[in-house]
Amino acid sequence: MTDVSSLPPISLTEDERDCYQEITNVAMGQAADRLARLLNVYVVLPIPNVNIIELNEFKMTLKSLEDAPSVSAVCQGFIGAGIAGEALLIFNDASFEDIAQLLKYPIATDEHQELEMLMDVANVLNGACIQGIGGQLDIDFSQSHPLVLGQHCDISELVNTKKSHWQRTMAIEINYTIEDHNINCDLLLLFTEDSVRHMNRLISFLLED
Amino acid sequence: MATQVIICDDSNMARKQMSRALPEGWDTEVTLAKNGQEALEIIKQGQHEIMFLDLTMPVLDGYGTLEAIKAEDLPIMVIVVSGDIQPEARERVKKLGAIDFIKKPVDQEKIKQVLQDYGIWGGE
Amino acid sequence: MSDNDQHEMHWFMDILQTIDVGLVVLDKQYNVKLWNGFMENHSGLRPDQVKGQNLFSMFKEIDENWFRKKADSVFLLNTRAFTISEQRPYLFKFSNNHPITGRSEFMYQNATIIPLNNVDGSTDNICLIVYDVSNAAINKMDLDKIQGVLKMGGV
Repeated sequence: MTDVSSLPPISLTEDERDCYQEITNVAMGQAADRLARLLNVYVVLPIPNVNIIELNEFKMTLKSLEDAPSVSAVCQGFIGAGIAGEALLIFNDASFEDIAQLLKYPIATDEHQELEMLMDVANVLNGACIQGIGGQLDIDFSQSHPLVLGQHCDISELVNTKKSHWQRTMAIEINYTIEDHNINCDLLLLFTEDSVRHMNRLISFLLED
Repeated sequence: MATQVIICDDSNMARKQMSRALPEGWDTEVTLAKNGQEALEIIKQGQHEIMFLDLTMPVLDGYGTLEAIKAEDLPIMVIVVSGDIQPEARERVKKLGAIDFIKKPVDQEKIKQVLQDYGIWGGE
Repeated sequence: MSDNDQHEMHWFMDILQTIDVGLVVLDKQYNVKLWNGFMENHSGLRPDQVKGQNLFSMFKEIDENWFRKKADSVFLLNTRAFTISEQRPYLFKFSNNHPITGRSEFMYQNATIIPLNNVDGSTDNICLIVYDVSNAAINKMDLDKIQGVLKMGGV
């Protein structure tokens, strides 16, 4: 693998940001469609946010997740054709009961069942979105097992680690709200710097006049 | 005489893709709008016949735009072009007066079909 | 081949392409003969870029002498051989499956090398099976650290 530390830090032109926003918009629409049909609901779809964020900013996000008592997060890696990243799905625990009801899960009697449901939901939402993006870029992404942050890995370890192997990431932030239900979650799609360089090349054909 | 068309979408890329997807033989003059508010101002000038409208936009979204067109009985045919393909989204826009719904990424064949179905362009 | 057999074959191929382990078939010259989806995704190299090429010339991070010794025994003795992440953290330098929240930069790997037999029982090809064991490896390192701290504390 090439040494990327000598390459200039990633940044996005307005056109590139707009392009990622639009690609994500379409992918979200496909994901929402699946959810809507599956659960017979209507999913409110705001415009996604696309930004390059620094490691420190991300650590602050993780720290706030750790500090919030009733928030859970599931992370799932994805990879394909030179592009790799993670999908981080952040739920408010108050959404749990509603989600369980919608999915017709039995009322969770213990933490394990709750966790399993969390992972199942994350897998569906992440999967639909990632496949939606892959479809537009002609990439077949494969996903790894979902992990519950804080359960399968320690958030404070991540936050406090002195050495880190990355400095910047492109974060696409998507919010899913299900109308008439108390369900609201944030999906953060995080791409490695290398992936962003690669994707910028891929989308250049979409941007040419 | 060229058909006056509005393409309304907040995304520059989407506007480009929509423009490129219009049938080649169709004689059009295209005006671009970044959101519903801009689109309404253009429509009120009274010269445009058809609008391809996105749903997810800032300032005034697709639903708000359709509502305004209905309320003020503005003379324009609207085809919604959106990534939001949920069954209810399609229903809502039809109820608000859109003549049809095309999903993104746009397919040229589908656009031709809609234009023919509604007698907007013969397909020559 | 019956219809059923064809379906089965197709399914097997699909599964081998999408399964979460790396599959690499090598001949006696250590040229790549087969490269599955896992390997393609993590290396960024497609099968057509890799087939017929020499493993060591493409992946300089693999210690050639060490690997040859392990694999030669498979060719000669028709038995399996193993590598573990405790010996060497990885064979192929792939990124962690969790490149953002992951605690290590690269993927820790175990590998199994199996003989692929010809009809007459001789072995001209071997299959390298690569397992991602990053989670277990990192957990173990955490555990070791804690035990080390406890020992120092005189507990």
